[in-house]
Parts: sequence; structure tokens; C-alpha cells
Amino acid sequence: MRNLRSADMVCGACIGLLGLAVVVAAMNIPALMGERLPSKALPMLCGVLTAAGGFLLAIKAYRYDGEEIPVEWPDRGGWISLGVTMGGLIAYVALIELLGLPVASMLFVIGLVRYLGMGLMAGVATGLGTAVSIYLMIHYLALSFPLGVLGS
Amino acid sequence: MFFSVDLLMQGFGAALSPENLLWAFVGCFVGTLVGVLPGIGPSSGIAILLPLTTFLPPTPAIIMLAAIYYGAMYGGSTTAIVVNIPGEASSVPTALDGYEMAKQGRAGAALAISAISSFVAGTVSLLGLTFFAPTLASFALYFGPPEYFALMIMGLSLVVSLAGKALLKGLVSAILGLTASLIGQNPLTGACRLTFGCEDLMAGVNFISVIIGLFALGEVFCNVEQKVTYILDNRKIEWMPKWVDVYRCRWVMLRSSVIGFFMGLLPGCSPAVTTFVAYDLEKRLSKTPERFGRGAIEGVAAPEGANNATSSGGFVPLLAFGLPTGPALAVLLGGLMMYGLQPGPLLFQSNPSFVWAIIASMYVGNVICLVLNLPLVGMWARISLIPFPILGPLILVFSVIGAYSIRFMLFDVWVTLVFGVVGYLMRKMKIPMAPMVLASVLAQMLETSLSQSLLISRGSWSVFFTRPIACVFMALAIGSIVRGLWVQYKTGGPEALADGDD
Amino acid sequence: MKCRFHALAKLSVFFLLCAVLLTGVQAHAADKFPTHPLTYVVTFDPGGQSDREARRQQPHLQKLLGQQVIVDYKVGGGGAVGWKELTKTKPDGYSFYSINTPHIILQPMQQDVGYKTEQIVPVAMFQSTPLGVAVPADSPYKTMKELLEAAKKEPGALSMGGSAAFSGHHLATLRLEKLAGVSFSYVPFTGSAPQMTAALGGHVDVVFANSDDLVRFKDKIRVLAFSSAERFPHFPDAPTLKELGYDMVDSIDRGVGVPLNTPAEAIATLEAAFMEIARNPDIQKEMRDQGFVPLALGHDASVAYIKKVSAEYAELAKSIKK
Repeated sequence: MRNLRSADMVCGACIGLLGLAVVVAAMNIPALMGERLPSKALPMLCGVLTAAGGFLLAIKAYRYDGEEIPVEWPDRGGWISLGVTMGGLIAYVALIELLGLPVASMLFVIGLVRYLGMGLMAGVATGLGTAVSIYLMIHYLALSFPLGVLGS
Repeated sequence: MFFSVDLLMQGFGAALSPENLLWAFVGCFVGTLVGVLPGIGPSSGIAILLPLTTFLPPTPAIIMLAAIYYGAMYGGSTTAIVVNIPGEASSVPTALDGYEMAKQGRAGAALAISAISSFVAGTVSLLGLTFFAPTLASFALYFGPPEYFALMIMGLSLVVSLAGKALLKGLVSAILGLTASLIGQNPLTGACRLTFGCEDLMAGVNFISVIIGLFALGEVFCNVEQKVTYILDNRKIEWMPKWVDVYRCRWVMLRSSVIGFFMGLLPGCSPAVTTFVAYDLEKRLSKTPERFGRGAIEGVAAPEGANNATSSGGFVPLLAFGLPTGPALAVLLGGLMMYGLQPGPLLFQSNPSFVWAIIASMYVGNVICLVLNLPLVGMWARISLIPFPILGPLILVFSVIGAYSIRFMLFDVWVTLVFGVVGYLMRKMKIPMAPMVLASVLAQMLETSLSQSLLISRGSWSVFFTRPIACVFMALAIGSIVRGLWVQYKTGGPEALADGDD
Repeated sequence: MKCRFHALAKLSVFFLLCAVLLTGVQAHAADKFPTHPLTYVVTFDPGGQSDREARRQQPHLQKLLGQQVIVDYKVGGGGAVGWKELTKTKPDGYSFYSINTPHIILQPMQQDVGYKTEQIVPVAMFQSTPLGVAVPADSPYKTMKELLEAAKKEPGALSMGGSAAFSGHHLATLRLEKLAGVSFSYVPFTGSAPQMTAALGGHVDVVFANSDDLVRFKDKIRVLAFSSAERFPHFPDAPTLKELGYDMVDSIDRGVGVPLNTPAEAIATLEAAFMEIARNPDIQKEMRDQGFVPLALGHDASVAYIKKVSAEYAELAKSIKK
């Protein structure tokens, strides 16, 4: 995975397998009456093309013998920042319905702003600002975002 | 038969009355806001304000609602340019070059050219609406399922040029986009497919999720990993476009107006197709196509112009037949009917003062939008000066809100996160993203029009070549694929493994 | 370490606040329904029949219920996405969803769509659109008889446009085919706007369409017959299918529903509000002018109606499958 050749091989193989899975899933789509284009035709076609494209990519990368092109994967620190951001994002989305959009957004923004290296004041100010503007938007435009703990 | 100078002048008289002017301004202002805010699109914006208009007489009410509609088109490009969040599919091509410009410190220029181009195209297509509405209205009716299918195939053929030199990767990206869009229920029969037993997947993958995930989240992930402090590459800021930029885009604006206007006449043709076609045309006509995707100002002017021209074009079938070309216009139609105004040729005869006041107000409204948006350019552009540790989390929050508001389902947000990771990986592997977006936008129309065409033709595929309009699009599609492959063959020789420059 | 402690302290204060708020809510709940804003979920695109009815009712509902009513959209799968959510939503009466027959009956009959007809409790039904058979104004077919003869001569040669497959339009087509011994090629569209566009452009030969759409395009189409029990007032010259000897009455009926286990008191309050609006003569007149048929079926009547229609469709579906 260090250079683009091996990355392409792995990626191509994965896409190829995905395509095969789609083909298998498409085979189970039942036909309906009066159809000129069977329900399974397009999913099947897409599956076959995905598989073909994926494996072709892998083969092409395998036969490539030109200059080695590195893939810029992050360093250890980069992986950690990325992991924390993604983890935070997942936690945020998972908490939206429980805490409501304004509060969950506020906690997420405060947390991430702090983590990415800004001061506490900046984090809290941004978070509060976000929460208040989201709350006002929901309230005055009567949008149906979850309000969670703020809802009554 | 409908047009007369007197009626248009009367219309302008009515549109410029203080009351109507005020409501047009309110509409433009709200529309711009609606366009900028994630989580609220033009159709929900109009729907929310519809009940509030009951205290107004019909003319100012419809003037305001129409202004919200085209005003939102002005605002829609802002987030695409400044923070790489295209709020709707039609602003994806704008993000391709607009965000690059923002990173180069030229956000102001990009925003300004998008407002100017929107204004020019909006006005040009209004001329079309004014003079040719009755003649052109039937244009929409020539398009049956086979024509739509051929049009979609033509749209799909753009993948070849969007993929740049990484043709195979571009094709894989497109086909993945198509497959993802097939997940869920068949739009016509409701039959489930590719859900792998997961009930949630029945709702399907919405292309807005794909777009926000790939563009906005993917970009933030990359920035986080590299510990970016500012999204700007340098600190040299250019707030306004130079006149020479505007001058350079003059033909771009006119061409995209024409494309946008004609494609806007078609009910069921997604504005995203229009903007991609306009973008691609400019890339092909340009003497320096390699600048596209790297911050070419024409790459912002073209889709934005086409976008606005589409919105004015949509009023032709709406006023002439009562056929809405999209959800936002359908709500507007509901508004007309609330006042007992039945759109159609009869409306032009029985209520000419109303119709012409609306059309005249749209000219005025376009001026208002321009005047309203240009001064804001500096303010929006300064967003790129916010340090990334603050901006990044905000972009993520805005993306989540935008994704949630597609259908107000958390499911769409999860899908967006998945595509965020996909977008990150695609950036690393140098797989072009535009083909995936285009394919996912076209997928539904492609599928429904194909199956309808085959039902009408009773299973014969020749229908796509025997009907003249369909045949022309098919020929264009095939021509563009062949030409694309030929150019590749001539220039690149064997495809360079790494070169995914789009 | 200090920073984390800080966060912990803040978090606990925050949860305390939540608890206080929650108890406040609990205390409120004892009051009479409704005590806070309600959500009216439309399961079809804005601008469609369900949405227009909801927008018409919204201000009246707010007045009658004394609370804000928010109109919201859950669109997809011909309504299935919204109805699946209906069955999962909190049964407190604060969210009610627009429902359509025969959609809510046909969809679960056809396949697993994530909800069952019995899981939807109708509150009231208030809007109906009988279905009409129409051809473009320049079509060679002047009467229903001519059309059916042509369809009989060459089975499947005529294309019949409708909105979605296995929908009211589709079932009406199947029923007509069976009764008249003919066959059409049924072409489904993604909604009534594209359906009518195709009809006006002559891309399909004939459509089975909702009455309000037919009224809207009155001067561009010719209505050959109506599936209502009596002649439709906007088209007094079009015979009913019954008059022509085909015993079928088909319409699409719209109302609102709530999930199972919703308190009877909440249903009764909502029902009363909807019925009062449905019985308002001004609203009824507005609906008729737009080509709708106003209904006023309360909770019990709607339950009975859905049960009756379900039995009919079950029989039809069985006879088609053979």
C-alpha cells in the first residue's frame, strides 16, 4: 500500500469483489409481471461492470512497471488526528437524537476545536455560537430537526 | 400571440410599484439566505413561507415566492466555493473550480463572477421567457421517455472527459456511483434491490449525501490529517474579480445561458445535468482545458450561469402549461392554485397583468440579487481567513445539518459519513470524484426512462434511434465518447497510472 | 488532567440541567393534549395532492388545536419511506402522517416494505380523487368504446400511463383490462407531473389519472370515462365506467394516520379537528373547484373503509397472480 501500484491492486481487488457481491445480490431480485426491463437487469449490469472495472484496475496496476509513485498516507500523528476526528463525528451523529442538534453540535464543536489546537475560549465561543444559531434557525423556521434536551 | 410591448411595460409598471418592489426584495433576501444556509433548500423555503403569504394579494405573493426560488440559486454557490459544500447537485461543478480558487485566495473573485454570471444568464433567459414562452413551451412536450434516456446517456458520456487522464479510474468511479444509487427501492415499482437484508437501506442512497460526503467531509479529513492551519495556500487575497476576468467570461456566460435555458424547459431534467453539460462544454472549448479543476474562473462562471438560466427557463412550462420542472416550482404552482390562478394559456389571456407583472419582476429581482450579493462577496470570502481548527469543525457540523435535511432522516447522515471516508480514500488513490457524483445524479432518471421507453416501444431498442431528438442526443453521446477516447489515445498513449488530475 | 476534570464538571452540570428540564416536561404532560407543537408529516413531494391538502389544513389545525403545526416531508418509495417511519414513531399523537389508499394496502400486499397496513391507525380521511381515463386532445379515439376496441384488436399496442407500478392507477388499469377483456402496456411514471407531461406530449396513448390533474389540463385532453360512482361534475359529458357496463369504482383517498397504541384521547382530539375542517363548506367548495372530492370519514369510518377496500384488493390481487 506504500505506492500507488500496490494501493491500486488492493483497491481494484476490493472493488472487484464488491461487484461480485452485487451480482449475487442482483440474481435474487424477483421478476415482476409486465416488465420489459427486468428488475434485475440494471443491478446485474452494474455488478458485472463494477467487477470488471475493479479487476481490470488491479491487473493494470500489476502490469505497471513505470516509475514508482508514492501514496501520501498520513504519519502516526496524522492517523491519530484522523481517527479522533472521525470518532468524534460518529459520536456526534449518534448523539443527535438524544441530545438534540444544538447541544450535540455544541459539544462536538467545542471538543474538536480544542483538539485541533485552539484555546478554550475560542472553542466555547464557537460552540455556543453554533448552538444558538442552530437553535434560532430551528425555532424560527419551524424546521423539524431533533431538539433533544432543549425540546419541550 | 401573447406578447406585446404594452403588456410588458404595464408589467414593469406594476413590478416597480413600491409594494411589489418591497416583496421582491424580501424574496431575494430570503432566497439568498435559503441558498446559503445548509438544511433548507428552495422548495422547503417556499413551502414554509407559503402560508405566510395568505395576507398578501396574489401578485406580490407570487413575486416574493418566485424571488425566493431564483434568489436561492444565487446563494447556492456560496458554500460550494467557500467551504466546498455544494448544497445541491447543481453546484457541484462550481465547487470543482470555485473551492480551488478559494484556496488560492481568490474566493472573492469566484463569488463575484458567480453572481455576475448568474445575473447575465438569468437576464438572458428571461428574454427567452418574455419573447418565446408560447413557442418554446411545446419544446417540453417533445421530450418523452426515449428522449430523456438519450439525454441521460449524453450526460453520462461526459464522464470520459471529467475523468481526465485517469480514464479507467474515472469509469470505475462512475460505475460505483451508479451502483450506489440503485440501492433501495426501484423508483417505479417499489421493488427492493441490493439492500443486503438491511431494512434501513430501503430508503436508498441520496445523491446529496454522496456529494456532501465526497467533497466536504473528504476534504476536511485530508486537512485534519495534515494539520492544516488555514485552507488558503497563500495569504494573498483577491477580493474582487478584475474586469479582464469578467470580460474573458463573456461568451462563457452567454453560452451557458442558452444551454441552461433550453434544458430548464424540460420537466424532470435535473439542474445538475445542465450545470455539468455547461461546465464540460467550456472545458472542451477552452484553449487551456488543463486549468479546469485547478481554479479556472470559467469553470465557475459556466455552471452558475447555467444554473440560473435553468431556473428562469423552468417558468416557461410552468406558466404556459402548469407543468412544474422540479419540486420548488411544484410548490410555487401550489401557491398559484391557492389563489385560484390556473396556469396555462388561459392565464395569459384572462390575467395578463398578473403574468407580465411576475415576468417583469424577475428582471427587477435579478438586479436586486446582484446588488444584494456583490457587497456580501467580501464578507463570505473572509470565511477562508478563519483558522482551520475553527472552520473545520464548523464545516463538519454544516455538512451534517445539510445531510440530515435532505429527508430529515439520520440515515442520510450515516450515508454521508460513509462517503466522507470514501472521498478521503479516493483523494489518496487519485480516483476522480466528479464521475461518481454525475453518475449518482443521473442514475434514477436513467433507469426510469429506460424502463418506460422499453414499455412504450414494446421491448424494441430501436426507439432511441428512430425518434429524431433521441437520435441526435445518442449521436452526440457516441461522438463525445469516441472523441474523448481518441484524444486520450493521441495525447497520453498508455494511460498514466497516477494522473487523476480532476 | 486538569482540563479533563473541567470537562467532567461541566458535563455533570449539563446532565443536571437536562434532568431538571426533563422533569419539567413530565409535569407538563399531565395537561390536556396537545401541549406542544405537532408535526404533520407529508409522505409525498411538496406540491402534490397530499401536500396541498396539508397546507390548506395547517392554519385551521393550528387554530383548532391551539398549537403550532409543522408540516414536514418524508418522501420516497411511493410513500413507503414515510409510512415505515410512521410505524416506528412515538405513539403520542404529536406526529401524524398523510396516508393514501390504496397505496397503504397494496404496498405491503406486494412485498415487504417495512410496515403492515394494520400498523397504521387512520385518524380521518378527507380528500378523494376519482380516476379518469383520458387521451390527448388530438387523439383518434373519441369514445371509450373506440379506445377499448382498438385495445382489443391489438393487445398491448396501446400504452397506458399511470403514476408508479402497483399503484391505484395500475390496479384500475388491471381491473379495466379484466372487465373489458383487453390489454394495455402499462407505463409507470414517478409522479403525476411526469405522467401528465407524457400524456400531453402524446408519448403515451392514454392515461388513468387523478381527477384534479384532469381538471388542471382540461383544455388539452379528452376525458373518455370516469371511475367514480356518479358522473364527475367537471366533466359532465364523460360517462362513468359503470354506465358503460364495467362494474368498477376506483379512487385514491387521502387522510392522516398515527401509529398503533396512540392514546384514544389524542386520536379523538385530532379526529375532531380534522372533521371540523373537512365539514367546512368554504373548504369543501375550494376543493371541488380544484377537482377534488371532499370526504369526511372519521376514525371508525376510515378503519371500516380501509378494511373493506383491503378485502377487495386482496381478491383482485389473487385473481391477477393466476
